[in-house]
Amino acid sequence: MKKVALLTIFWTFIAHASVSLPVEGQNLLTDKTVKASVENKKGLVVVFLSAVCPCSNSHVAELTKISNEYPDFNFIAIHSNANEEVAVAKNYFTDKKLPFPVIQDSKAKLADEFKALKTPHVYVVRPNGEIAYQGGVTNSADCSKADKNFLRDALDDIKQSHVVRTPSGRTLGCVIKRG
Amino acid sequence: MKRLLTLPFKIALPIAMALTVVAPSVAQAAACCGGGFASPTIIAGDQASQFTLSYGFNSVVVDNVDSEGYWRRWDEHQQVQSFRIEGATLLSDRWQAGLAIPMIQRTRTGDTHSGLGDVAATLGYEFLPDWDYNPIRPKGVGYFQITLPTGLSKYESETGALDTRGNGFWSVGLGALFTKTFSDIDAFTSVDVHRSFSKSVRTSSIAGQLQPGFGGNFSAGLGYNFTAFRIGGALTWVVEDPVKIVQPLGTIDGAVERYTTASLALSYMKSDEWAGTLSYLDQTWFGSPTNTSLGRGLTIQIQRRWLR
Amino acid sequence: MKIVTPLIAALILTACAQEKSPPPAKDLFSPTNGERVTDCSIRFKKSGLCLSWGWESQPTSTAMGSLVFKTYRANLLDQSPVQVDLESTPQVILWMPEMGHGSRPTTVNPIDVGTYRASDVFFVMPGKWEILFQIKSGESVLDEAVVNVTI
Repeated sequence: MKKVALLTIFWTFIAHASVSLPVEGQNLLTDKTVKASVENKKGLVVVFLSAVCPCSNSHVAELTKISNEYPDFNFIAIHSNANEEVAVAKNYFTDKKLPFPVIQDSKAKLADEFKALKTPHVYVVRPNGEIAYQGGVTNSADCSKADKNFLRDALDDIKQSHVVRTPSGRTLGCVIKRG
Repeated sequence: MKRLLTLPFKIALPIAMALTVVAPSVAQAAACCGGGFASPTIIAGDQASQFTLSYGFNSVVVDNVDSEGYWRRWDEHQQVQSFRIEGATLLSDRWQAGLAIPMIQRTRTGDTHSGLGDVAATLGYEFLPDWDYNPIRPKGVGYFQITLPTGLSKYESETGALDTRGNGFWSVGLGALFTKTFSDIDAFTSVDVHRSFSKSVRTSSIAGQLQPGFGGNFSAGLGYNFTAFRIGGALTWVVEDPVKIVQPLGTIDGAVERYTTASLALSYMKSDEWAGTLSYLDQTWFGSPTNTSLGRGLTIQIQRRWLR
Repeated sequence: MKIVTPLIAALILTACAQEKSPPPAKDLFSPTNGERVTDCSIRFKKSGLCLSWGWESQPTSTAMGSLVFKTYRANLLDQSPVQVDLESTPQVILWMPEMGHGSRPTTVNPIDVGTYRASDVFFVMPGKWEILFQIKSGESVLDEAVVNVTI
């Protein structure tokens, strides 16, 4: 009995977290419902972004580039900060012209489901819902100064059917303000 | 866009700011006579390294609280000024090292003595990282600290402790700092236990072996963050074992030293790289002090950070 | 119970400091017992010689003072005091046993047989002090008499 209990605790800690797919919500810019799934794709990249956080902003260009360079993956952004006005967020993301939709997560439901901590906080989800990578996009608060690209490494590993070399990366940025 | 670039790291600020309240350790020492254990130089936020300059002015307001708890005051009090240089840097993603170098000046009735205090080196490890959201789990950094007896201790003083600047012993300690942010509120708590080591002493007053023991600190604090400012408070409880003085004609047993330092702090984060803190410290508000003197003071601190 | 225990702990830890005033002193600087020297209440630890002392000028919080002390042995016949010189000029040390520090060095000079003056006597702070009358040989303390005073 003791062994079973210990093993259960062990597996709880090491087992990869998983989320339910598709990731669904209201599109911040169109107000329509958007569903992000991994149909016919190798995975789904979910990234929590902010309209005011400098660290989040410094990674937007890189995320746009990655989404273009990895067409095998679906991308979705989520805006969860309760202290950022929707109008401000709309203006910001309209200006940024992201090539993937942005979900307005007003009550931080998605942020809680993913346990997103800061912006940017990125997740790579496999077709079975397993989170293959979670953490920062890079190892720096300023993308231009990063020397490790956790997200790119994870996507490359999944593409090549390798084990994801860094399944968890440190998140740097502004803490998501939950309502 | 302009608003985006000028809006500060409002929420990332608190954890880093919380540390600046913990940091002014010299003013948290027993007011009259050095002692205490230097608080560690720890990176608690997301920066890769930090450099801190602190200046403190402390006035002894209760000259002596004896072992029975009686408070005694005289007309003339000691004034203590301190200047502290601290630096900390990451060694890897989770390991870090820090160094603190204090300078102390004491003045009473026109007599002034100054010099180097106890230098402290710290090795820290982020054993409880906050890589994802948890409503309860804090971020935790554990540390090992070594304190060098570079400051003259009260036992070795020939001026009645007016020239003391440190503990006087080699000390090692283990501790942990926990931080957590809840919306606009940040909280921290830290604990450490340290052990000092015996040494011989010879002055015009005593000659023999000084035998210290264990000591410990416990701190807790809260802060509220708004725009680029943080206002916060903290309490630090300090307890030190008696230091025995073993001499040929007998042993002086000493007495436990205990005091509590309350602090109020206002911090301003000019940018991601620069922050300043003004703190007021008072040792007369809380706790049951014994075998110590009590002071009040102000500390100003400037910190430069280099982000990861 | 889950909430009460940490709450009680928090209240205990943050309890406000209560200033406790010391009892009024009969005389701020406790005087001598010179009149009752024959009871030999102050003795050197090893030789058993007796000691009496008194303030010549009381030190204050800012000014030094001086004290005079006399050393005795008991007369073999009737135990009456017989003033004697010590082996060497003694040293007078001021020490706070609880705080772990002393004060500035004093200066001791002989005045007459078994009579000495200690000047530059200064207490750096109020509280419980010991006045240590020490007989030394070089750096070694051969004998000592201790007087407890509360400043």
